[in-house]
Amino acid sequence: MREVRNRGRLWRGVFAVLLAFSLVAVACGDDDTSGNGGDGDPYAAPGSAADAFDMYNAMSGQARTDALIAAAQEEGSLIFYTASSGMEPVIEAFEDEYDINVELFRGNADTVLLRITQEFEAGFYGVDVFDDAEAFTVARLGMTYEYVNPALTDAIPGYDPATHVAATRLSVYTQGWNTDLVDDSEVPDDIAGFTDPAWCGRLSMDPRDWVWYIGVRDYYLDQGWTEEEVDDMFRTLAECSRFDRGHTTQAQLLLAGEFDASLTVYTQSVDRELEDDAEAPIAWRKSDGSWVKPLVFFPQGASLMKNAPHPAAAMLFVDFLLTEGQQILALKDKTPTAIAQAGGPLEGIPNADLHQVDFDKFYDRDTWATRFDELLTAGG
Amino acid sequence: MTDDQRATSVVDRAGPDGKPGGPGLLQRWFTRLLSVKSVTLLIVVIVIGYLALTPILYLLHGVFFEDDGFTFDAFTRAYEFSGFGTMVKNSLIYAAGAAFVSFVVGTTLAYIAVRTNVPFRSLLIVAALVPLIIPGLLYTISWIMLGSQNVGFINQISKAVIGRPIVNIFSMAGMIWVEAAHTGPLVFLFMAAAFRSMDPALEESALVCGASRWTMLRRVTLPLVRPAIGGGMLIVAIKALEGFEVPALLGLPNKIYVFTSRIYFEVQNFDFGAGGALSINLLLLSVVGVFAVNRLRGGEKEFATVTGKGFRPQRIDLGRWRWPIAVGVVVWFIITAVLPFLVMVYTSFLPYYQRFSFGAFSKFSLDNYRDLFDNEIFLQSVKNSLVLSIGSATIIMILVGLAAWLVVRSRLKGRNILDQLTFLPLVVPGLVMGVALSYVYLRNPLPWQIYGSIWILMISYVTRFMPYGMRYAVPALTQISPELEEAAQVAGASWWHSNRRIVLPLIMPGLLAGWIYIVITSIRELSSSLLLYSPGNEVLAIVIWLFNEKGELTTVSAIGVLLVLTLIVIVAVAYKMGSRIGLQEE
Repeated sequence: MREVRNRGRLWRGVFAVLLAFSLVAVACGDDDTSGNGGDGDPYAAPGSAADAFDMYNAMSGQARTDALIAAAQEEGSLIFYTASSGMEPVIEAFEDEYDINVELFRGNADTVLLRITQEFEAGFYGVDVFDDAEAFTVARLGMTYEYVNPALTDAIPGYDPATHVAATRLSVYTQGWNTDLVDDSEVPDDIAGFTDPAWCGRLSMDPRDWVWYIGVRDYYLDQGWTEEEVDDMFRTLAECSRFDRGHTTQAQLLLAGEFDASLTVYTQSVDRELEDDAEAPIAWRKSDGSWVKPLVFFPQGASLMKNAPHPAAAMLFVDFLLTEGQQILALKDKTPTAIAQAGGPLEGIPNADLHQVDFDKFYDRDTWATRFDELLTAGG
Repeated sequence: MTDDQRATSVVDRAGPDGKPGGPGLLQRWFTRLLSVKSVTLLIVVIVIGYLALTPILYLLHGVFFEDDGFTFDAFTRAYEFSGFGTMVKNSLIYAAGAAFVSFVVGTTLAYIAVRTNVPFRSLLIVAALVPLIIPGLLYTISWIMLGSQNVGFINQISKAVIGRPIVNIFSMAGMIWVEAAHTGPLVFLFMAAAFRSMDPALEESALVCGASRWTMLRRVTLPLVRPAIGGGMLIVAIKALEGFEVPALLGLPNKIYVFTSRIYFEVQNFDFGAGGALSINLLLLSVVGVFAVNRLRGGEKEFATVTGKGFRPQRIDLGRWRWPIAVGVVVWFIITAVLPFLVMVYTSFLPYYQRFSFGAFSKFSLDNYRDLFDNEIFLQSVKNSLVLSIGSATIIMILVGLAAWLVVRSRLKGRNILDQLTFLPLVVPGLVMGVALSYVYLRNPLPWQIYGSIWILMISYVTRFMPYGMRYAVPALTQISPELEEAAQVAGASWWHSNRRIVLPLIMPGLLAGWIYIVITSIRELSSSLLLYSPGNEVLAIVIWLFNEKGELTTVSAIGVLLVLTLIVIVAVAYKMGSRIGLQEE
């Protein structure tokens, strides 16, 4: 019997060792944030690329561009993280122009943010440029470096160098409708018009769009509505809408005629379909060019990572994003750009009609996502 | 093999040799430890334990430890919201409904395909797998195109004929239907393997003794495959509880919330603690489930139908029911496989997603396929996906084949812990698995660079799909009576030799079924891949996701069509090769 017991002990021992090993694997990084990238608090440290960035930030004009091109070609490549789905043509153009290889990691906003934070905390510095709405969050945490190039950034409305984020794109929330099912004359002038009982059961919204909720809420508060009135409007909209996750899924189902109108699509979700086929029965602007108010947007922008392994290529790429990149995004990908482009998707819309989502609320995701969720549950 | 090692095998089965202590004990202990068998099994236990515990410990750490130490706050955040009761009720109805329907359908089809002389059997086996091959997103969207009240093709016809829609896919029944049709093949694979390894002599005896076919099925056939049924039902129910696409696309529009909707909400808000606290339920459920299935397995010989006695799988003659049953099977496949596939083919030729109309045919083109082959990363991703899915399926089936031997055959204490360990990764949400793995491999405990390479995806897939492999391997081995290997060992074969020459061929149908299932599902794995892939290591699921994000569902459909056609070839080849090693049929 003893041998059997011995063997039992042996296996129990193996399990114990495994448990301990896995625990170590999971826990070993808890206090170790220095990793292979430097000493002390990596968030407070200036970053390994600081000197290079300082040098280029102090330069301007052709001298700056020449220095960047020479150094970037020496570096040879660039690692770019983004959640944008339309960056491929920009990258292709950049690679063609400078002969620098771009390695692209694309995920949804949440996974890109997770990845970049996890890598940074482990001291794994494998990214040069990050472009997304979450760039503001990443910059606030202390992972980025300042980008100084007034020749380009002066054209970005509301640019604040302290944010370390050069806005490249605007995510503009709008309302789209299926033109086979909805006549222009039915479309209301503002979003509150969709609370009309005639629309009930014909709408869809994305239940994750708490950022849209913040923007629309603030717009109506500015118009003199009370908080209760605004919340009532959202409850009614939620009650009269079905919920469909994902802006592109919404656009697809809208095209197929599954519902008549979507309360939460991006302008480019609609414009890309029209680019593919001008006869596609979908629109976010009426035939006279007008749209449903308010157009709420959140800027997405590029940041230089302060430990970028390829600092010159990183800076050259941000320059490119703010010049040729803007044209490509606006004209080829139909994405609204931070620097308005002639013939772009927001042509004819004055800046005063574009309402930026409040940054402070955007950073307070817990409060506002939960609040929006509660309104939807109450309405749903 | 030495006499000592041979003695060890016998000790394993027959108990202690009765000599306590003495100077030879330590020596024998070491000899035993260093035998091929012990070293192999030890490695298997270490690898499985390491793979399974890493994400689970990460999950538990997130749930119970926050900035200020040990806490239950995550539970408060996770469970304190309105509508909790309804959500639990919905989840249970959904999971139980899907498990029941897929069980009935999968088992019936498997029995017909394996044990009867119904026509077009090989076609049936391949066709049964089609719903599994179609990525969940596409399968669900295809069903919207078929069963939505506004645009569904089936309802378009019913409106024309009887003036009203007849199905509503955006309902609990619709959710159960789509989930069951999608997971039916999982049960099918399970049960087909079990039926294939079943000695028909027992059924024949029942018939000879005057039992009706129905009595034979109820009293003989189904009880004999109880371990496979238990394993299959458990995995389908937990998969339904954990599944995301169907509830998100079909439940959400009508505000039918299930458990995963909430887990997803918490994880999206980066509250892994609360998301994990919700997953703990699944964890407990699966521990109890595995325990119950093990109990169901009962005594070793109870379900062993492949014994030392001659065994030749034979088919039952359906007689006059042969053709009616064939027609029923064909109708089922038209509904669950052919129609959704045709929706994909239709969409793949269109410039934009639209409901069915004859006018749309004028817009047909091959542009989507052209876009696909113009895309630089598409071909690279196909290669990566094939390497990863075939590689992970092979690694898993080798690992779980050996683990199943430990669990089913050995008398070692703690063997059931190993069984539980292999099952645990099933309850870890994909994104949490991704976070856990990147956390660990960014602080690499192994001597090779894992993060940023294709290996991190391999580790993720092996971990995520190990539970499925194990559920295939255990019932397969349970059906094989140990007397066969004992006979070989008495005749002088080593442990390794007797397993390779006798056990492996006999459990091949089960291992092959698991292998095929893992190849197919790992190609679709997205949630952890999205976090773990790196430039150059893109997989097909990532490419599908990228196109879908751009709103190009038509191109995604083109990928779906190619995927179905490619995987059907792989499955057919696998069956062909597997049958050379496994049981030869009549």
